[in-house]
Amino acid sequence: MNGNVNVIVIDDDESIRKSISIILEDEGCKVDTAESGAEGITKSKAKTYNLALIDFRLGDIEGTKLLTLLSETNPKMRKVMVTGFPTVNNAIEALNHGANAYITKPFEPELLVKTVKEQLAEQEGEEKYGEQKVADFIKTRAKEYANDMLPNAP
Amino acid sequence: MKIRTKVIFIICIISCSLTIVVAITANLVLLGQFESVQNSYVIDSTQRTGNILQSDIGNIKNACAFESIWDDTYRFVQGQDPTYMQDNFANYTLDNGFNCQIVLFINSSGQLYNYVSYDDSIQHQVPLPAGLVAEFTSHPGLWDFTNAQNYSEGVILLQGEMFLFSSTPILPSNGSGPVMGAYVMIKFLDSKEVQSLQQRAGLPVTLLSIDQAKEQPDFNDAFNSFLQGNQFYTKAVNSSTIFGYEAINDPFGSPALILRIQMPRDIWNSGVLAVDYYIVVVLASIILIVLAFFLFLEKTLLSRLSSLTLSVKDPAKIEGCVNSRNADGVCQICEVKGNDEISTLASSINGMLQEIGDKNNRLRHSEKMVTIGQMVTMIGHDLRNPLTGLQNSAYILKKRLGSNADEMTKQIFELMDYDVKYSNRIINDLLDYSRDTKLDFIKTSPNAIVGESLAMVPVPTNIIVVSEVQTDPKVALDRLSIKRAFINTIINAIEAMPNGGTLRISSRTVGDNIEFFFSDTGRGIDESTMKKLWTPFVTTKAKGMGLGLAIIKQVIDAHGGKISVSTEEGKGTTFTFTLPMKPSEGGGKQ
Repeated sequence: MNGNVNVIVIDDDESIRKSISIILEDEGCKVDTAESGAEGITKSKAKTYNLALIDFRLGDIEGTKLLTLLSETNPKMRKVMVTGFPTVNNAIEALNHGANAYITKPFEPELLVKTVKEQLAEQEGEEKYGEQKVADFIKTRAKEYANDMLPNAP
Repeated sequence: MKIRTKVIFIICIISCSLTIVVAITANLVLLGQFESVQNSYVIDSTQRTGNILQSDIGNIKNACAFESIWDDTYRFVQGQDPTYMQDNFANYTLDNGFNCQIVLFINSSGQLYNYVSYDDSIQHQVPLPAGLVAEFTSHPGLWDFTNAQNYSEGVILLQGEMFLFSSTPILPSNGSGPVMGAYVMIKFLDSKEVQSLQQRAGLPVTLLSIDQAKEQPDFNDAFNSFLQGNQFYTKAVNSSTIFGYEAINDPFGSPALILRIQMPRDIWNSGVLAVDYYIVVVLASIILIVLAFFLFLEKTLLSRLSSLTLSVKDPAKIEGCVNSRNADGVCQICEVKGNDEISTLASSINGMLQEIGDKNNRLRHSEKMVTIGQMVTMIGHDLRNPLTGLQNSAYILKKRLGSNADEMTKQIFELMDYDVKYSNRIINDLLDYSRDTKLDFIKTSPNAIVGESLAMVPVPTNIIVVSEVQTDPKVALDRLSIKRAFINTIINAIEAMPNGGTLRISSRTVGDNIEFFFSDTGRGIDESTMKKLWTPFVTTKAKGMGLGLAIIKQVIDAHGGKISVSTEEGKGTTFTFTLPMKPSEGGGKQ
């Protein structure tokens, strides 16, 4: 991963915040941490993050509520839910509220790295696709415009 | 009011009523009969006594007739026999043959011609009581006779005194010729005569003239009865004495005197005794019958109801009906004896208590489970965070040390990794056990579900697994939980065979059920472990929460199935799960 990837870890457990930070920093990400939902929102407003790792249950806000709020501030940010309550219901709820992935505690660090990498790759793909679409649109509009200008051209 | 009290009350009332009815009937009917017999007897005796008196009159009449139809007498009253009195009444005495105190000769014109008046107690002639002849001759019917067939006799009151008399016409011995007056014999009905009457009758006798009788209350009652046309009258004066009365008429048909006899009430008293005996016997019978009935009721109903009440009164006994079950698991709090309504009630109560006990146990269990669940969820979450941190930290260290790590360090990393995973498994077990088992029935083949379970367990190389599970028929099971149960069973089997062996898994269908068999050739289960096999948190393993079998039981129970275990120490164990092929009613949730 290149050094421009920004990740935020929102979790009320310090050991998790710290250990995830180190693991992802080792993978070349820039990692910020937030110990509460409020802090996470503040930080996500101040800075654009590529990916957020969100604890399902935080002291101040429900993980799903935070997901909705973060989708408003950073719609393009990839959101990965991390939970100590691995139930099907929780998973469905998370996905319905805009989570992109879902991992359960305690997770294998390899799985975390893999998930993060997959999400970032998907995000990059989407961006490229978006850029391509904009370029195509401009090209099409330019052609149409030219045709309008030259109505009698053969 | 208790039934026993009510029964005793009703029995007492019935007994008393019966006794009263019997006593009244006996008194009215039986004593009435005895009284009537007694009265007849008294009347007979009264009549007999009256007859004795009549026979006295007859005697006088015979003597009178003998003397009156006689030529000497006939001539005497005509003044033709001057020695007649001397010849026949020496010194004007009356010997025993006359059997009277006074003899009157009344001529045909009603004049006293001559007389004899003699008192044999002083053996002397006495003057005629004043006015006696005048009163006698004032009734022509007593002396004015016209032929031989005329006569008069009986009792008569003269000057207030009672007399027996006989009056016959004076005729010649051949009975023909004109009547020359009346020959009259009179006898005092005095105490001497009454005493003689008494002796002959063998009974105390009282004679009272009508005037005297009217002054005595009992005689007066008798008199009133005679006025109504009765000939006899009886009256009991006390429990031992009864009087009998008879009216003796004078020749004119009017009652002149009343004769009373006194008798013991023997017959009536015998009746009273008989009735008393009868009542006592009837009462004793009633008491015996009632007692027998009460004992029967007591034995068949009341005592059993009491013991039922006692049985269900003790909350400690009822508590879950857990300790009072027989070998078949049937609650035995109420003793079921015989085959009647009470025993049906007892077994119904047993059934009900058993149901309550079972429900209580389930409720308590589920309450416990909810508490454990809440606790475990909290602990699980709280433990998963440090475990994640620990796992991440180990990962970081391992990665940073890389190839620089020595063999010991690598082993420590592996150990940490294993322990994190093991800790996580414990948390998962606890969560699995405490969570509500919500079943999602999906049709699957027995073979597939066993295969999926086997795939989840790493089998050591020294253990051979033989699966002979059917592919058909399809059974409706909750795959996730059944897999969990099967995995736990397989893990247990493998752990029971540390030195290798064979795990044989098979199935068969029996009726609407399917049976799964998991047989290992391991060390078996000892007796003490068997007893608490299904109790959560009890384990023989050095590591483990003791939840494996508890989860198996929870899953099979939730499916409405049954588990049986056969084991032989040193030879192996077989777990048999019997599951309904279709979800049972009421099953599916726990």
